Amino acid sequence: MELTLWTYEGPPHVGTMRIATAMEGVHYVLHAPQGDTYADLLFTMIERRDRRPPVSYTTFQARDLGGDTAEMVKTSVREAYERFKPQVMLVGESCTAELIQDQPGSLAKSMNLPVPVVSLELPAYSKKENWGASETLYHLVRSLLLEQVPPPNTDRPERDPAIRPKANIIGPTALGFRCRDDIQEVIKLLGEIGVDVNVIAPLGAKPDDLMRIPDADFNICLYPEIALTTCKWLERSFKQPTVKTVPIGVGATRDFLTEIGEVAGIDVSAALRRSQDDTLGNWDAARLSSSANPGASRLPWYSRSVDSTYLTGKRVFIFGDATHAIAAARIATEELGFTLVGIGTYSREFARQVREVAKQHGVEAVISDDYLAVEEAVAEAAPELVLGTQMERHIAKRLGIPCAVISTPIHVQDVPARYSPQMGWEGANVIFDDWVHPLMMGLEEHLIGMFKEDFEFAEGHMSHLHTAPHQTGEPAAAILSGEKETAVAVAEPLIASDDSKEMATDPGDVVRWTEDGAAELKKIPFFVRGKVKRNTEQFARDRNITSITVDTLYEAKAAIGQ
Amino acid sequence: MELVEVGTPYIDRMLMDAEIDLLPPGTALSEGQDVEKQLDRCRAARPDITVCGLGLANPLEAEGLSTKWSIELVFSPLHGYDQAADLAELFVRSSERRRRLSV
Repeated sequence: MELTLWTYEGPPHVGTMRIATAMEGVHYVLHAPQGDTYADLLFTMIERRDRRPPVSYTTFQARDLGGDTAEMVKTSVREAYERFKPQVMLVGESCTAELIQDQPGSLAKSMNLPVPVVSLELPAYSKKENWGASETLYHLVRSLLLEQVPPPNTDRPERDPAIRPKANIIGPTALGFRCRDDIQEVIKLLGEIGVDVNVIAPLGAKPDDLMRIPDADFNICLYPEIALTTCKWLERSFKQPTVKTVPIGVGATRDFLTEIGEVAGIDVSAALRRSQDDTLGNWDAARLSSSANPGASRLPWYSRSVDSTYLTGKRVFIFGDATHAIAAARIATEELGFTLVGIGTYSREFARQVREVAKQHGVEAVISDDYLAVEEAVAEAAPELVLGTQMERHIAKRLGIPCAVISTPIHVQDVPARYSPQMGWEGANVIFDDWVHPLMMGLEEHLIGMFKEDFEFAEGHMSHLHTAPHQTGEPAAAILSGEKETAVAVAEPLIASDDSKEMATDPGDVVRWTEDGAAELKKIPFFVRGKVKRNTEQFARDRNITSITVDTLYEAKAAIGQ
Repeated sequence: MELVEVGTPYIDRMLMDAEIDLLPPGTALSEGQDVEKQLDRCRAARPDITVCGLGLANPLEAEGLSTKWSIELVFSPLHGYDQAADLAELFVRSSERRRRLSV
C-alpha cells in the first residue's frame, strides 16, 4: 500500500456501497472504524442523492479495540434490520476492520435474521472498487438465485416465437458514468427491435426483481467491469447468453443491435438500415412536429459535414475505465477521424483488452492507477484533446489542453441536470458535442494563426471557451545578459521540464534562447511547444551550443525529425 | 442563537474541557457516531440550521432542514474578533439562499 493524494478507485467496500445504493430493499452493514464513513458523501454530493446510502457503520474507535468489537457488529446488524427492514442484508468490512478479523459476515449469518444475509469478504489491500462492486453483484445474485439453478446440462427451452424476446440489463450502478441516462437509451434501442426489458439491475432493482432474472432470454452486459462476472455465472447456470457489445458510439450501437439479433434470433435489419439511411439532416415539418424516436444519430452526418474537416488527425489521448476507454478509442478514430496518440486504463482486470486496442493504433497502453504516471504520459504524447476521468481533466487543465470527461471517477458536474447519455443514438450525439466543443474550431484556428502577431491575440490564447494556459511561475528558458541577446522568458505551458531542475542544480548548464529563437518557439502550437523546447535544448546541449537561434531550432527539428 | 446539540466523533477531554465549559449550560453533548440516532434527534428538534458533514447535508436539505457544511468552518479564516462578521455571514448564508429561491 502507498500513500497518495488521489485515487481512481476506492477500496472494494465502496464498490459494495455502489451496489447497495443503486438498489432498493438492500441494506449494507459495514464493520468500519470512525472515519471510514466518509464514502457517504460520494453519493449525496456527487450524485446529489436526497438520502443517505443504505449503509450502517459499526464505527468502532481505538478504545473499542481491547473490547468486544464482534458484539458491536451484532448490535449494528440487529439495529439496522429493525430500523430499515431490508429484504436482503449485505455484511462486510472495510480495510481497517479486516485487520481485526471479526468475520462480520459469519457473525451476521449466525443471527438467524428472517432475510437472506450475504457475507462479503473483499480483500481490501489487493482489490479495488469496481472489483468490489462486481463481486457484490455476483454474490447477491448468486445467493438469491442458487435455489432456482436447474441441474447441469439442462437445456433452456426454446422461446415461443409468438412471444417477444426478453432481456436483462446488467451493470448500471450508483456513481457510474451516466448510467441513469444510458438505461433510457438502451430501453429505446431494445424497443426499436422488439425486445422487452425483463430486469434492470442493480440500478433501481429490488431483491425480488433479481429473483426474476432467469425469466429473460439473454443478458446485456452493459458495464463489463461491474457485470461480466455475474453474466458469466448466469450463462453457466441458466444458459442465458450474454450480449457483450457495449453500445457507446454509432458503430458499437449497430454492432450491439446485430449481436442481439444473433443472440435472440430476430431480424434487426430495419433498425440498422434506418440508422444508416437517415442523416437527420432533413428538417421538414413532419420531422419537426414528430415526437417519434428517430432511431439514428446525428454524429455520422455532423462528422461528414465540411466544418468538421479540421477534426481530421487531431491527436487524442484517452484514459478511463476499460469500457469507456475502449469505446472512446473506436469513436475517436472511426467516427471523428482523430488520431489516437495514447490510451490507458486503471482497470487492471481489463488491461489485456486495452492493450489490444493500443496495439492496433501503434501506441503503448498506460495501465496504471498512479495519476502522476498518467500525467507524464499525457505530457509526453502531447495530444490536442484529452478524454479522461476527473483527474485527466485536472491534468489537461494544468497542461493547457482541451479535455472531455468520459469515465468515472466523476465530479458533481458529470452528473448533469440535462439528459446526457453516452449509449445509443442520443449518446453518440452527446459525445459529438462534448468532445468537439472543447476544441478550437478550424476557422477559428486559421484566423488566430493569421492574426496571432496582433496585440489582441495574447500568447497562449486558445479559444473563447478557454482561458489561456497559465504562465506565471513557469520556468523561463534563460535569463540572458548580452547586449544583443536580451532577456527572454519563454512561456512553457507544459509541466516544468527536467532541464529546469538541472538548471537549478547546475548553474553551468544554462541553455540560452535568443530573442528571435524564442519568438519562433512561441509560434509553435502550445500543445507541442514544451516538447519542442525540451528537444531543442537537449540538441543544443549535446552540441555545446550555448544560445539557441531560429536556425538552431530548425536544425534541431530536422535532426530529431518532428 | 440557541444550541440544540453539539456532537463530535471524538472528544479529547484534555484539549476540549476548557471549551466545553464555555457552552451554554444544559447543551446536549454527544460523542461517537451513531448517525441514525443522531438524525432521529435532529428530525425531532428541527433546528433552524444544522452544521454537518457533506454526507448529511443534501439528505437534510431534502427533508427541509437548512444546513451549513462543517468543513467551511475548518477551511475559512474566521478565527478571532476580526473575522467574527465572516463567521456570522457563514451561518446566515444558507437561510439567505432559501429566502431568495422561489423554485
